[in-house]
Amino acid sequence: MKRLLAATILACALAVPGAAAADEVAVGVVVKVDTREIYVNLGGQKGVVDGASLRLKRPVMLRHPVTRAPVKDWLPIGTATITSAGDKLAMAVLDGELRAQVAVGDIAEIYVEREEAVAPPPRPIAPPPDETGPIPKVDADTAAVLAVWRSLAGQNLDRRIGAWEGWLSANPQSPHAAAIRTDLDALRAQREAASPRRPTPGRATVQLAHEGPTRGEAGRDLPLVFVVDDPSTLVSASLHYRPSGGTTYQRLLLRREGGMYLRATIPAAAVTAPGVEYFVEAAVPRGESGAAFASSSAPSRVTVEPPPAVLEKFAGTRHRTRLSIMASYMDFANLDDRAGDRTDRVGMGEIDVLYRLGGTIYGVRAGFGSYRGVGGFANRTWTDVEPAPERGFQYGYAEMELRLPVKKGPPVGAAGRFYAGVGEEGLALGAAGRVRLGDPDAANLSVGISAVEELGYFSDLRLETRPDARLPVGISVGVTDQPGQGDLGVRLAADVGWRALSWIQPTLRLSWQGRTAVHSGVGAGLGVVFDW
Amino acid sequence: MRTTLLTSFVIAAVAAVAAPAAAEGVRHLPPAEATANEALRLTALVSRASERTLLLRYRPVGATTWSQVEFARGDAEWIATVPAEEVVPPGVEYFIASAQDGQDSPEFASAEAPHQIGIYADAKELRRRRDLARAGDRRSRARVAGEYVSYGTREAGEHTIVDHYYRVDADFSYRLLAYPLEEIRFGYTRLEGYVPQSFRAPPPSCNAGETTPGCRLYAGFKVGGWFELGFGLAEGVRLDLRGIVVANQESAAPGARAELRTGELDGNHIALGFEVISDVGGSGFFRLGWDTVPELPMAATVEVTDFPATSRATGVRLMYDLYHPFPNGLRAGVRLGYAARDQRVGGPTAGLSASFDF
Repeated sequence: MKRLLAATILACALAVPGAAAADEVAVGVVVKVDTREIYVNLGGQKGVVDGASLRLKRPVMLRHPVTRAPVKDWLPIGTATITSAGDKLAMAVLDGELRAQVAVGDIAEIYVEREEAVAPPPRPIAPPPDETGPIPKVDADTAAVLAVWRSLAGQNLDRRIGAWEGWLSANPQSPHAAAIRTDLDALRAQREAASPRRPTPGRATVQLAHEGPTRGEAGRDLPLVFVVDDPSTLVSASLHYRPSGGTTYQRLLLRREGGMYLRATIPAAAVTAPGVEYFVEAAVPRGESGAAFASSSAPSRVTVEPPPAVLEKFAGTRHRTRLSIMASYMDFANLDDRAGDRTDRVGMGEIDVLYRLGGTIYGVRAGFGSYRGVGGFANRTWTDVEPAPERGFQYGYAEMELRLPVKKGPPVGAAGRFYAGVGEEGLALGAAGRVRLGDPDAANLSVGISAVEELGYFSDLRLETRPDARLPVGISVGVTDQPGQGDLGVRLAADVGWRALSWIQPTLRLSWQGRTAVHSGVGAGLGVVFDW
Repeated sequence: MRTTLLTSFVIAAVAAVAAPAAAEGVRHLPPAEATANEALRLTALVSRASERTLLLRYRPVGATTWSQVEFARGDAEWIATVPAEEVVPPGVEYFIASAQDGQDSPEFASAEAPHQIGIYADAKELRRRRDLARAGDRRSRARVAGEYVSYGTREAGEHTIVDHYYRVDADFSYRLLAYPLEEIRFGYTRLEGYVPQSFRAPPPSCNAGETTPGCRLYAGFKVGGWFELGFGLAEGVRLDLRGIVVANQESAAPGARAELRTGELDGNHIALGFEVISDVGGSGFFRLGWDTVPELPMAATVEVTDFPATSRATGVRLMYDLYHPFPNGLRAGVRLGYAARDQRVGGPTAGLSASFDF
């Protein structure tokens, strides 16, 4: 307050050049800012002496609210006294708060009082900002904007912001409102940059009457009304709201109606469980502001019931679904160069859909598959009398993957799959399980085992990684007695995918498998994954 | 000179930003909440009351026309009351205007921007509203679905023996939303088919043709009626229990069906269930539904069944359903699938469905 008074005194002195013809205002800039003191490029040569009054201003570029032409203006920073004046430089020791606001390049004005009555040349008076261009005739709305604009020349940021907020809250539908909002954003950004501030902890003198709701409904607008006891004490007011327990508030300018009513609506998106908190900060005509209803540290609370937990899991529609199609062929004998028919191969195709629920139940999958195998033995030779045994399985499956609660380290998932299908002898059932260490969409290591009636079992250890974001690679080693519960075999497989687009990923599989050193072969597979 | 400066300072007033003029006339503090089905009393302090008539215009949220009531003088305030029958969830919106010399002028809020008071019902009511909102505020559904299921044809000598049936369901459901009972449903089912009169392979009698006695079996029933109760165990968890009575080849026979489902039937969900009908067969199924492609919800179902005759081997059915909901409540669906009793022989499944919500 004292600083404002002093600034005003100095401003008045500077604004009345005719009052002392011998005196002058030396204008320079701040050239250095130190821990406690600043230096300006004005010294004894300019008549500056110890004890001279110093005014500090911040040059700013604004836009005219009507013409939108750029306008040079300044913001008062504060006043100080020259502590020590040298020949070319002068030093002023500032208090900590003022010092924090001053930056190199700020304008320094020092009132220099001279003994001789040397009439200084008339000081050119810069035209007021709003007179940069003639505006012949304006409507009442524009006139009101210009009146506010005129009143703000040389005012500090808080005053400017408060004034424009006040105008905006009373004239939200004005054709100038959009421009003013833009200017307000710029002014707030400057204020934030100059001295980051949070809702003023103090209380505003204005009194608001308000009956606050105790509960709200998730996803539904929450309209609020505040009644100003004495409208003349209020310039503007803002509603600050946040989710209960949040750290920062969102700010919403309260719309002023009929002078005494302030209205705003907490948007539906912000009305979420467990609740929302709010308070009102008001600005008074002097430019000060403070909490007028509740406060940032003791906000008013509205309880919001959480949405139904189960349905919430099923609510998402984007990035939840994956369709996978895979066909593969494994031959255990095409590298077996022994004489005779050693047929031993498996072909299978699967198509499934994964729906990701997130949370503990990470995903649910349903799919269909067809499996056909011939052979299954390492050292048998097939003849017309003893043809290679055939196995087939047409099946469907359901799978659920759980994300186990792990506090540290990579995520751990466990999936269980149930098979139901028909084989050579009718209905056949099966089951599979897999434990995964790591995110299924990133690097992970998993071990799995499956067993199906008539076919046998298959177990594998699989490593998936992404050398490149678009290049998922999987390497697995597995053991199986499929296709017909025959001899044990080993399969080494490598899958290489290509994330061509965000929603499609074709995959190529190459494999080597064998049951003995001589009974082995290579296989291949193709797949495609669609994500949406 | 300093005196001059100080004088100048005094003359130079600090530019003050003019505050909006104080509104005079009507001071109204809106209540935060209201209780459903209780009259809502609104009060105002009115100056120069003799010069104007203060009017409250209100309507339930969602209504299109305004009702009007005049403020009347109370002890210290003016009072207007919204009748209890208008105070219903989700809320009431209103504005206050004064009529003076035949002219209306807004005093608080306006027809374009009325103030809304939320009326928050109890948990059941909220759930009911959410359920209704998900159903597009339609409580009833009429549905018809038909499918043809073939397990393929099997060779018997020079003849091919069919193993197939068709099924038609027509039903009507009503969302009671009287929790835990969410829905009641009753319907008609017809299921008829011909299957070999054996466990799996056609009997030898079929070698002489499928119309030979002892070759094939007429299975199923022409008339089946059922009644189903849908229990909402929790919001989003549903258990449907159905009692079935069918008139089969011999007599009336009972049946039952149950489905446990999480999620939304018409959207993303998983379901597990079974159906058993005496002499006709039984089935157990798992279904995953997903509504992630706009306007095209889908479902995949794996079913283990011996329909349409318990004498037949249990097979597996794999089904894919695709639906398209229309804005008027109509929902059309198509089903494609595969059915087999063993891995050698299988056949297609095809079906159509339509439902209408109102």
